[in-house]
Amino acid sequence: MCHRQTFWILALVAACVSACTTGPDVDGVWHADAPAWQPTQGTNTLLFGATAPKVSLGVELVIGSYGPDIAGLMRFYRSTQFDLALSPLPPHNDCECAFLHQAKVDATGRVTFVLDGCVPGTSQQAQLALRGELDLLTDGRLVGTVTVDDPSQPTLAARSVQLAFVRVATTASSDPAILDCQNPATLADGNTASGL
Amino acid sequence: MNAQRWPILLTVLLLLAVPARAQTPGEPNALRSGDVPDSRKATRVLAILPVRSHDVAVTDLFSPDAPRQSDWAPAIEAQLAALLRAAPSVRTLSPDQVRQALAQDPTLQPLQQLAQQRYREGLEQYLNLSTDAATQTLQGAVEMGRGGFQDVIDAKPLADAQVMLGVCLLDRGEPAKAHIAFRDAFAAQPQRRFRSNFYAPAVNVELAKAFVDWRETSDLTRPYGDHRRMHALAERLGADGLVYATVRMTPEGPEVWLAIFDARRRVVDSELRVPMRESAPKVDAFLSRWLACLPVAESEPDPTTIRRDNGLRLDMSGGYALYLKQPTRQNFHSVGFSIGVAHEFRNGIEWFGRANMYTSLSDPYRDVLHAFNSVRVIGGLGFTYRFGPVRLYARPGLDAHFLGDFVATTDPNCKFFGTDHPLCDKTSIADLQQRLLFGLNLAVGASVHIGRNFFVQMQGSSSVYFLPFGGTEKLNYPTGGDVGLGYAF
Repeated sequence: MCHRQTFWILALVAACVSACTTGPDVDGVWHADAPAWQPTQGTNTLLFGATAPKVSLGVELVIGSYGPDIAGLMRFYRSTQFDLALSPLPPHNDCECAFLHQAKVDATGRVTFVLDGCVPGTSQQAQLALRGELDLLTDGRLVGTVTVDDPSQPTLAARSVQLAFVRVATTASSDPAILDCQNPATLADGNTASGL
Repeated sequence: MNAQRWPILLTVLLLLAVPARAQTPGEPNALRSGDVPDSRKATRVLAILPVRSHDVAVTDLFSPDAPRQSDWAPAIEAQLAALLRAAPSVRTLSPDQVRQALAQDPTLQPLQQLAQQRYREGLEQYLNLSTDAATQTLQGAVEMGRGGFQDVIDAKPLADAQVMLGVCLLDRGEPAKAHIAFRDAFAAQPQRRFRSNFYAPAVNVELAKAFVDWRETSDLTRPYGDHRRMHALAERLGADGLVYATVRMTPEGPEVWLAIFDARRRVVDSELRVPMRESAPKVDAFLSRWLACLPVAESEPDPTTIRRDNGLRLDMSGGYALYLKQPTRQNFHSVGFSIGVAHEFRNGIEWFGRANMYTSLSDPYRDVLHAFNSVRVIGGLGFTYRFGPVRLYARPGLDAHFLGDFVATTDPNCKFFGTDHPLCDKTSIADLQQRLLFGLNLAVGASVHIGRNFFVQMQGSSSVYFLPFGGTEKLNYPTGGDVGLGYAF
């Protein structure tokens, strides 16, 4: 009798869960393992030239998922010598943050998106298009590559960088400033935002 | 005793005392579970048929002026009527009421009149020496007389026809059939006597034979015929049972044969044979026993009570609704509660009003930007049908739906960054805030009475909105169900 009741309760819970769950949960704030964005040659080279000094960047991915659709942004944090060594000009405020476009997540947990904006390593606030492909692993990390996919930049074509994100918050809506790409100074702990 | 054990002992004593109190014999005549209150007991209709009295001796058959032994029938009929009238839940039809009911039955009157007419025609035909034609006509008269229950109302016309039929049959050389006709005549009118010089001697001989035969062999417990005829008679009278008796003379004195025919089961339910001198106490005991052993029947609900039950009905229900047409990619669900009132102002027709308050739940893709509340008011005329405790209804009505803060979009940027963000595609937003929709609603449901005036109600309903024009294409056809509890005043 007890087993029977337990079965029905579990069945009810399962039905509710299945009715409310629409796919892999990638909502939240993710931080890439540091160091990243290293200017090394080979497969792990994205933008920096071979002669450039090594720099480490912190990468933050903010995601809101709505079924198969995703909205969000990617924000870059300077850890030490963030691109000051490459450019005499400080990066523009827009350059430390880019919105995700055409972002999707499929049933297997693969997240795809397009970044279209100013990203670290590009000098003079140059706009660059990149394509991201990340997979949600069973250990909870979001791991994949971001690849340059911009016909207007043939010298950078197909350069990619591997990123491994760890979720640091399950919701992105607790702090409105996190969603603000234009005014990073409003970040509560904006010590590293924009590198300025 | 250890003082700490006192609470335990007290508890045990209390537990023992409660069942002991429950087993205490209740008040005399108190209703127990399963008993039917007197007010709910169905009244049984018992018809007392005219008592047949076999008080004509063979020696008096042709002496109509000879004093009769005694007519016991009125005494027996009065005794039966008095006993049955005193019984609870019994309505008695006296023999006079039975005669009157049958005589005034509009479907029997033509038969009775036709039987009389045929009898006269048959008599004329016989006197005109048309014996064959007279036989046929009189046979018709007898059949119609029996069909019209003439033997119950007034047996003489039927007995006359049967005697004349027997005479005709004798003239035709059919003594066996004539014997049966004479027997039937005595069965219909046991007290019939004849003048010795009225019929031919041969007829008198056959009459005497038939009389003796009938006296010796007739079934005294079935003086009015077989079960089929008794059942037809009970149906005519609207009776649940027929009570009838026959009194006949025996060497030990008059004897009463009493029988009760159960119209529902179509059997003679009980019989009694008792000397006349002991009939008063024994008939009383017999009837009391029979009445006491009858299964108690509950009365059908009084139509006036039903009418009162179908007065004002109030219910509160939990509800669920789903919009069959919606701007979201996946269904979003609405739950809430409703209050309804209905009043059946005529049998089968009611007016009703209903207020629903819903809160929508998030859809799986969160296309609805935030949960919103809405209020619906529905009213109209309903049609009801009731059988037993179940009441079915269909309620077409008008629906006014005030939408609360309903905003939906399929653009994830609008959801994530807000509808004012530059990335948000404004064209993807469906903003129905504060909109009022009008349309038609149809609800079908059932309520089941669960005791006293409470009922459980379940209904399904659907609406179609058509006003404002052009404003219902994004959100329409709310369909859902309600389950709740109600009270009928």
